[in-house]
Amino acid sequence: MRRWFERGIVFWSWGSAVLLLAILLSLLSYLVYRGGGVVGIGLVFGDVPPFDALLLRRQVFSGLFPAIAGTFALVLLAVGLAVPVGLAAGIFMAEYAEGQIKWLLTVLFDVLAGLPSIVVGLAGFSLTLILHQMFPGRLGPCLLISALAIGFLILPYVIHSTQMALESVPPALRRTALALGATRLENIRQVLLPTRLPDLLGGVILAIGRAAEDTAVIMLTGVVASAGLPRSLFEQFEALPFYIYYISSQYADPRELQMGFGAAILLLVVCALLLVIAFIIQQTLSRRLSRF
Amino acid sequence: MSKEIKIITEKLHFAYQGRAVLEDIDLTLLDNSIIAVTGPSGTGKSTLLSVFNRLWEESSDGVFAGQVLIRLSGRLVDIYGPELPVDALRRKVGMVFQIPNPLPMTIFKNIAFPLMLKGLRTKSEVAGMVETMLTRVHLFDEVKDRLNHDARSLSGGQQQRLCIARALMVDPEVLLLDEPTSSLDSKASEKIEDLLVELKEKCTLLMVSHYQDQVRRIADEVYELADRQLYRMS
Repeated sequence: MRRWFERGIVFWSWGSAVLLLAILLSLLSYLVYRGGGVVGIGLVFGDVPPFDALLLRRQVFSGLFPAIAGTFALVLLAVGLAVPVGLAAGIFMAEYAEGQIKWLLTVLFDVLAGLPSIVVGLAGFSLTLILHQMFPGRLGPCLLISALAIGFLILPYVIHSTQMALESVPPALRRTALALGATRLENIRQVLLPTRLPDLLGGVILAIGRAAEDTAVIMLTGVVASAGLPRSLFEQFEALPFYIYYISSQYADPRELQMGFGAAILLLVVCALLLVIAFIIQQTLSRRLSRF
Repeated sequence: MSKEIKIITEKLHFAYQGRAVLEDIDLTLLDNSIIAVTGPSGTGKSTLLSVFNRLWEESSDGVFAGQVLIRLSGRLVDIYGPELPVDALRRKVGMVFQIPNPLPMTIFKNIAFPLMLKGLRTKSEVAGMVETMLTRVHLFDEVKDRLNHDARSLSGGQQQRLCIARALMVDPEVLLLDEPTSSLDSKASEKIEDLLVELKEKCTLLMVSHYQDQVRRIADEVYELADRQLYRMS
């Protein structure tokens, strides 16, 4: 009986993994089937020569280049704002917080992680209104406020992954450097963080994915359908997830819907590129953190 | 030549999670000797060692009372007093653990790590010292061609000698050894024992060991920890 039960569990585990993989592959295949036909230079740059668009000689009006650039800028800014704060908070939670303060902060970060993005979007929108009243005509919905709101949204992921990564360091390794005369901070910087960099990167990858896909927050804080390339932090911008939402809800003909699927493929490519950047940063940090 | 007093404990008391582990231990240990502490498992031998470098403070639930004086740079210092920062104490009172614990970095970086903590920054500054220390623990010839390999790729005995070399890198005056040969085969244990006998010329070694033969071979003084008390055996 026990053997059959064990076999059943193994079968269930394998089955679940294969099913998930099959769903993922089906989804990707469907995206390629529906949008693959339009993915190309034309979808990104429209009728503008790519070189001219990349060197900012000519504006792209009929392609997704501004939305791609806007997505890159938004994600990099949001992750750049959230990672230093999230890393510090995660280190505090794992290494310094104790007792009731730790319990209280854990509850707070859990609530933050469960906050619907539309609520964060509304908070960002309120901030926009306040800033607009304080600096009339100078500040409104813009890239910076969207990045701040998205950064706030992804903060709990970074905190949680940092905390988990540090707390999973084996006690023997944790006390090695301390026994050699390292201070707590030196132990964190020289041993614990370099050892757990891959886990920390996992949190950042999750955050990048979340930042790249969210539409509700940016709709309320700065994204528009047509704004061109983002030229400053205080201007409105375009983004791929908003384009996908906009085009798939208001398409006029099948060709436009196909462009929406094409944009979804491009969004996946953008995410993959951002992950490669995160990996390169991890490798560089790994080398710099362990000197000699 | 008479030996100086190196360590004095007075009314040493330690409790863990509300349970007394050590009670009223008065101890005087001499310089340049190997002092062995034996006793059944779970009696607090490792805890006793952690009192001398305050490593027990890194996990909560411990309560310490009493006084521990160690002669450091020629002067008896209260190691729980305000004048000695804990990181400075741990550089003077090194520790080698039961299971070899190389840091997840190269052999070279492992040995150089304590120097890096002291502020030495460039490879050229420490290369000579690393070679000297690896030679001192009879490891250099075995690893000289793979200093840039991960230290965890070494055998158990080599890892333990690496850990001893690392602990010696900042010239500790006391070396605490928590069953340093228990995870090693007899050949590797023999090498470590020879090394410890050499080291007592430079510092005081306080060693926890389960092996009576080993204790008889290398220890100058032997204590047994039982019923929260330390009894002198020889």
